[in-house]
Parts: sequence; C-alpha cells; structure tokens
Amino acid sequence: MGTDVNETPFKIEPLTDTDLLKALLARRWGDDLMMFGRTWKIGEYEAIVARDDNGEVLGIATHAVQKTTILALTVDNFSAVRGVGKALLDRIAEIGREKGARVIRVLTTNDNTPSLRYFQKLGFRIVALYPGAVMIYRTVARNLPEIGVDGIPVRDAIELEIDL
Amino acid sequence: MKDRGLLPDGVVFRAVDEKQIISDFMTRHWGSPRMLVGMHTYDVTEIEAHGLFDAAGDLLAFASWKLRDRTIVLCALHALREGNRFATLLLGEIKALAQRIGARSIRSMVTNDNMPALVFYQKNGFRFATLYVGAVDAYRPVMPGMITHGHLGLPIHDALELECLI
Repeated sequence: MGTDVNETPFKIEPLTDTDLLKALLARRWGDDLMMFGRTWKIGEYEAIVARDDNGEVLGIATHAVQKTTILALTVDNFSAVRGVGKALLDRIAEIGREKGARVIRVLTTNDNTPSLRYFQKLGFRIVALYPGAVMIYRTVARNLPEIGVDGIPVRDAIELEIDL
Repeated sequence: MKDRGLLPDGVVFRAVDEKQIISDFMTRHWGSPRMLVGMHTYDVTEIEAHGLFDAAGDLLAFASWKLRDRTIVLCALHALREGNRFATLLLGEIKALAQRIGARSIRSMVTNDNMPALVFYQKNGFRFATLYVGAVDAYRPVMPGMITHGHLGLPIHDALELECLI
C-alpha cells in the first residue's frame, strides 16, 4: 500500500542557506538576480522553502517588502506534490501581513498564459502591464529566455495583485 | 512582408452582408452585440464585417472591424466552429486588407479571462499594447447583457489590447 506522492506532507520554513538558494535559483531561472520593477540581488530579498519529512526540498519562494506591498518575486514547486506553490504563496501572504503589507503582488510575462490563469483563479487582479520591460531587464539579467510558453517571444511584464 | 496564405479550395474571403449572423454569435457568446475596444464601444451590425465562406456559402469565420485613423480596430474575430485554422486564415486576410487600405496597424481587444485569444494573437504577430483595468466593468452599462464570467469561469473585468504593425 503506497502513499500517493501528490499528498506528501510538507512544511514551510525560512531558507537562510544562501549557497543552496543560489543553486536552486540558478537551476530554475538561470540566475539569482530578480526582476520586479527593479532588479533585486541576492541579499535584497528573503526566501522560504518547502521540505518534506525527509528534509528534501520540494519548492522555494522569494519575497521582498516594498512599503505596503509584499512582492512574491519567485514561487516554484520543483516536485510532483500538490499544493506546494499555493502553500508558499500563502506563507508569503502571512509574512506580508506580519510586516504590515496590504497587498501581495506577483509578476508574470506576456507569454505565460498558464501563470495568468493560475493567479486570476486564485483571485488576483491584473494591475499593470509594462510593454517591453523584459527587453530592458535582459540588459542586466542575460539568462532570460527570448522565447517562452507556446513559442511566444518574451517581452512584457504583467503584474497582478490581491488584497491581504 | 505579405501575410497572404492560400485559402483552401472553395473558401473565399469577402464582406459579410448578413451582419445579423455576427450579432447573434456575439450575443450567444458574450451576451452583447456591442463590444469595447479602447475607449469606445461598437455594435457589430454598424461597422465593417468580413469573413471566410465555404463553397456552400456558409460563414466559417468573421471579423468585425472599423478603421480609426490609420488603425484597424478589430471589434471581434471568431471562427464559428472550434479550431484556430479559419481564425488564423481570416486574420491573414485582414492583414492583407489592412495593407490594401493603407492602415498602419491592427488593434484587438482581449478580456482578462481569455487565455486562448492571448495565445492566438501573440502567435500571429500581435504584441501587448495597453491594459485598461476595469474597463469592461466600467462599460457594462452600454453593453447590457455582457457576460460576467468567461473562460474557465474567470471573472471578466479588464480589457487588454494587442497590436500588430502592418
């Protein structure tokens, strides 16, 4: 009688191991330099990690507070376990509330319609469109892909927000 | 670059005279024959309409549009049946038409819920141009019947505009 891997229990905790964070971000994004309105270097944002009972990393997320907004810079589920992404996002919302933020904001790109659908299904509203933003970000973060989901060129940033 | 693919046998591109078909389609799918593009609403029976017709003369896909300055404002573009083939072919014909009439660009409005349309237009040379937050909600009084929820049950609030340069 096996356990469905999708239902593996996990817990969320701060990720303070900078080397591990750098390695995970590099593998997933090609860089640890974030883009969200401005560039964010490692050390300028915080990270949380989802681990299973064996301590295996299931997913990570990075966040930063800007006045009354908490930015979810990255949210990644590396595993087949369901709910990891949502749990990371919920923890960021919790942290945001603790720090006095009133909204949580996420960023996606023009090609990423799955992401646009996902966040809107969670109740996020589209609040901003920055045509060409990715082209500007690319001048500093050279690993950003030219072609994204569905073969669509990655050019624009779209921001979504939900009240905390 | 001329984007004029060959149409399949028997399929023709021409103006749509029977605009009621278009109006009925819009009402069935969107709740309203009046659609928002930019800061204006358009009734599909009152503006230009072109379509693809099969050999039997049946409408396969239609485009409802209006020329504003040097821009073709695409009020609606839909295939009457599932599948992107006729929508893509029609879009190619509209681009050729745009070139013939001296338009510099085509603008299309997609609501925030409509992921398939966002993929369709971006795969066909359109880029994001403008976001009007809450525009659909704001214009509901002049588009009575306009549906509140669209693709996959997502609530419809905003207008996203995409643009293709000719």
